[in-house]
Parts: sequence; structure tokens; C-alpha cells
Amino acid sequence: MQIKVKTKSQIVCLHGHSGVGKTTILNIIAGLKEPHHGFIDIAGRRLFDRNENINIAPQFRDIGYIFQDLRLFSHMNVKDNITFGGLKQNNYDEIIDLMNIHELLHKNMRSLSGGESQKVSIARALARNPKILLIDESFHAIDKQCRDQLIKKLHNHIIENEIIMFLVSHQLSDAKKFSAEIIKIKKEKRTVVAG
Amino acid sequence: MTISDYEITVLLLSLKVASISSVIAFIPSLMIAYFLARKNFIGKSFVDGIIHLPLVLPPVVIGFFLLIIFGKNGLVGDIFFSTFNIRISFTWIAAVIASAVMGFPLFVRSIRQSISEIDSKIIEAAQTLGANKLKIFKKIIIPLSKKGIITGFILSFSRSLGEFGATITFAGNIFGETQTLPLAIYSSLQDPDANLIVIRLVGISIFISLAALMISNRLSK
Repeated sequence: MQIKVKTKSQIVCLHGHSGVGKTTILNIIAGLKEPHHGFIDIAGRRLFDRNENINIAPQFRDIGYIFQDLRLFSHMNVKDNITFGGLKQNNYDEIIDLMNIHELLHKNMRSLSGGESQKVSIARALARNPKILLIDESFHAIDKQCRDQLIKKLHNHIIENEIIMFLVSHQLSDAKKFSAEIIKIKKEKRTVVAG
Repeated sequence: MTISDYEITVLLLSLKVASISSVIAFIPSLMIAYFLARKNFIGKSFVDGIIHLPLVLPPVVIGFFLLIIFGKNGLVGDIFFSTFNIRISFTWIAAVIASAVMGFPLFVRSIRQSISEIDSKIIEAAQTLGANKLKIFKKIIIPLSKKGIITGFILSFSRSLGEFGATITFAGNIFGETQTLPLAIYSSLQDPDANLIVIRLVGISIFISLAALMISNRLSK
């Protein structure tokens, strides 16, 4: 499989049919999957290079990953989930404000609704103030009105903090709200073509 | 009903041996269970087999091996005796070692099962949040394996309370030193006039084992 993505945009949306490999691309950027060959350069930093034997471990890639299935830690409360990765630049309060989840902080994860869980998942990924943010279909459980507000706030946060964002979404409307560069992913034999 | 001094001595020794052996077995069980559950390495099946040997071998054979290793002239026992003047075999320490070895596979199996059930995706999420292996182990693996750890501890503790063959071979049957509940029952059975003592010791054994299982069920909820 070959992937070549060249973009100068700060926000990129990977768009394509199910099973085409969008999540795989996010996993490769995160370091959770290893490409067979090639290299990954993001923001001037080489994360992976087969030829040079470079493979930065996921914990050192400075990423925030909002998974489609959220992957929250069910044995911790909301606050412990958000602070798990440590906090950078004292932005904890800012993130809690951004997500509007003050009243959830001491709640058990099992008591949260789907939308609340998604907000916590976003807060957890942002709390470390990552350089790269990966979002995999992560707004579907939030109702439309909240979702539009959330996207607006998130967009501002990403621009202010100069975060590079990769968004996987079936809904192009979300990508447009983020003013994202849309990259169409399609499968041609064994090759994923992006662009 | 009052408990005699003899019964108290036997009971306290049994509880001491079972508690210490389970505590000692905890860390090695946790580490080995983790490696067996989450790592692939050459010789994994062999290591797995060795760990489970106490479950399938006659306990007397385990006691014999322990004597070879920890006996006064054994591989390790000789070093302890000549260096520290400490004799291991036929002491309460030997009873602890025998119990720990016999309960070890039960402890490992229980924790391993719990660790295996942890979704790898949760570990991946922790990695993306910057967690190193130690943090993942402390904050994710151990808390999510809590049920298996508690169940393993109680199984190991209960196994120790019932341990007979390895203990009598390696630690002997010395009142006040190595005579635990099963050994005391065995000794009393040799005396035709001690039927009442046997019944009382059996009653104590059943009571302690049931209590341990009930505590296990409550804690692992």
C-alpha cells in the first residue's frame, strides 16, 4: 500500500468509502500500525522511515487521538481520564471550559451519555496540547446544535494552538465547518490514492 | 464452644503460612501472568508448562524437588546454611515456600485470564497519551486486573490452607512450627481417641475456606 499526502493546510479531512483505509492512515500517523515501507514527515519531524530505521513510538509522537470507539478508561472518573496523559501549559481549565464538562469531572465513565463520553474523549486528547490531532468519526453521538458549536470552538482552539489536524469523516459538512482541505481516499488495486 | 490452645496454635500457623505464601507469590505471579498474557517469546509454552507443573505433579514430588533445592545440602539451602546459618527445610519458612509453589499456578492463571481480557485498544489509547510501559502497567493493567488478582490471592490462600503433600515432605509435621490444619487433622486421625479433635479441625477448615471464598466474591464485585 502506498500513501502520499502533501498538504500545507493545517486541517486535513480524509474522505472516502468505508474500508478504504482512512483509519489505517490515522493509525500509521499515530504509530499504532507500521507501514511496510516509505516515510512519514509531519511538521518537519520525521516520525517513521523504513530505510533510515526510524520509528518514533506512539508515546513520543506528540499526538492526540480521538478514536471512533472513544477508548476511554472505564475504571477512572472523567477527571482522571482527562489528566491521564499529563497536562501541558496549564491548559486543563481551558479544555474543560472548551468542552463545557465542569459538572462531569467527578462522574464515573459508565454514567455518561454517548455525547458526554465523546466530549471527554476530545478533552483527553487536547489536554496534552498535542502538535498533531487525529479525529476518527468522533462527533456522531453529539446532537447537531452542540456539534456545530463544538466544531466552532475546536476549530478556534486548533488555529490558536497551531495544531495540525487530520479528520476522518463520512460527512463532508463537518470538514467544511473546519475549513479543512479535503483529501479523497480511494483504493485502486492495492494502492490507496490520496488527493 | 471454646477453641483449645492446640487448635489456636494450628489455626494461627495455618493462617500465617497461607497469608505469607500468598503475599510472597503475588509479585512473581503478576509479572509472569503479564508476560504470558501479553508477550510472545521463544519458549513460552515451556515456561507455561513449568509454571503449571505443581497442578499436575503429585505434591510429594514437588516437596521432593524443594528438598533437593532448599534442603540443608541442597543447591540453595547449602548456601543459606553455610553463609547465614539459616536452615530452611523443616521450618515454617519451608511450609511457606511449599504453599507458595503449590498456589503459584492458580495465582498466575487467575491474573493471566484477567490481563488477557483487557482490550489492546485501551493500551493503544494510553500509548497515544504518552504513557510508557510502567505507567500503563500501574494505571491500566493492574486496576483492570483487580478481579483476577483478588481471585488469585484467595485461590492461592485457600490452596495453602489445604496443602499437605509438599509441606509434609519438605517442612515435616512439627507442632507449632510446620503443623498446619491438614497436617494436624492427619496426625489426629492416627489417634483413635482424637475423633472430636478431628471433627473440630475439619469444622475450622471448612469455616476458614468458606470465609475466604465469600470475601473473594465480595471484593471482586
